[in-house]
Order: sequence, then C-alpha cells, then structure tokens
Amino acid sequence: MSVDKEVEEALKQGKMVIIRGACESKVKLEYPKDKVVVITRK
Amino acid sequence: MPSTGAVKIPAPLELAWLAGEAEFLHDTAFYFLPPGLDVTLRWGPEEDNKVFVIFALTFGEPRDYATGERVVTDEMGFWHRGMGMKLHWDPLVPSILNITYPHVTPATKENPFEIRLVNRTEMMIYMDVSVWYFELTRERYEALQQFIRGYMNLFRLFGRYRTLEETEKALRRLIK
Repeated sequence: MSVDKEVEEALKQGKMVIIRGACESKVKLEYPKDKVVVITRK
Repeated sequence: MPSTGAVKIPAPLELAWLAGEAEFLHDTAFYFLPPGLDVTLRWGPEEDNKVFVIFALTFGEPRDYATGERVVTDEMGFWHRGMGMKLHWDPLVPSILNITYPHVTPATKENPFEIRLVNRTEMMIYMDVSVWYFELTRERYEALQQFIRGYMNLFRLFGRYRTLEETEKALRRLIK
C-alpha cells in the first residue's frame, strides 16, 4: 500500500485518516479534529 | 473477501427514484485505523431540508498496513446507530464484511448516522467502505412516508375484512 506524504505524516502522528472523494451532495461529517485527519480528493 | 452481491434498493425508494423524487449516490472513503483507536463520527446532510436514506454498506478487505495481510478479527470494528437502527457492534469478520450490508437508515442534520470505530489490535488497519444512499428533500421524504403508511393502512383493511365487498363498504364509509 503506497500513500502520499500528507497521509504518511498523519499516520506517523498516530491519527486516523479518512480519504474521501469530493461530492456534489453536501455531507456533514463530524469528527474529533485532534484524532482524525480528513483528506478530500478532487 | 470483500462484500459480494448486488446492492439491492428497497422497493419504495426505487419507486421514489423512478418518479424523480430522490437522487442516488454513494460516499466511498478509505480509512486508516491506528491501534488504540476509539473515535466517533457523525454523518448526515449539511442542509436542514435534506434527508439521506442509507440503504446499504459495502466493505473492502481490511488489511494490516505493515504487512498487507488480510485482517479478520473481532478486536476491531464499529458500533453504530441511526434512525430505525439500534446501537450494535460490527466486528471485522466474514459474516459482516462478505455481504452487502442491508442498512436502511435515514439521516438528517439533527439526527445523523453515528459510528464509533474501535481498534483494540496492535495493527494499523486500512480498508475502504461505501455508503449507498438516496438524497431527498424533507418534504418528499415525508410524502414518501405518507405513501407507505397509506399503502399499509389499505392492506390492513384487507386484513380486517373477509371479502372485497366488505372492504369496499368500509372504504366508502371512510370517504363519505
């Protein structure tokens, strides 16, 4: 599994990482910012 | 093995979709889940006037980030709850992951779908998950609920009366 630097950095910090695709629908995702990094791909 | 089989759409939602009252989409994400994880996510529409009706979840294979090996464990999983779905635990085991998970749960801004991810293993686990849903306006969702209740009530009448004639008389009394 290869990951980019942004993901690698978050993983080193022991954070959960969520990688999502950008979506036309307006989704509200609530999560604890100190434990989770959300990356949105466009 | 990841989820297998077709994603089935519940009939009333399919009718609403065909009638142009609902829009289909799915939210697919990749998750990296570190050891010791205990995190709660809430997922739903950002807008007050929208309802997301989830009807399925599908899972990719969970794997150990360090080795790439497939993971089967009851030490990692998720608690989840939503409207019409009680809180329960889903571990990363084949009876959960190898099916297209039937998951009929509406989510609104004030009552989102809630998921608590827990990883009690020593592994960094990664996996992908897709949430399949329809987006409706709140008005259209309430109209769909009325339609379903009306349909059920009609068939309750058939259950209450022995013949079509008796049912017809009851209906005529109702609409007078």
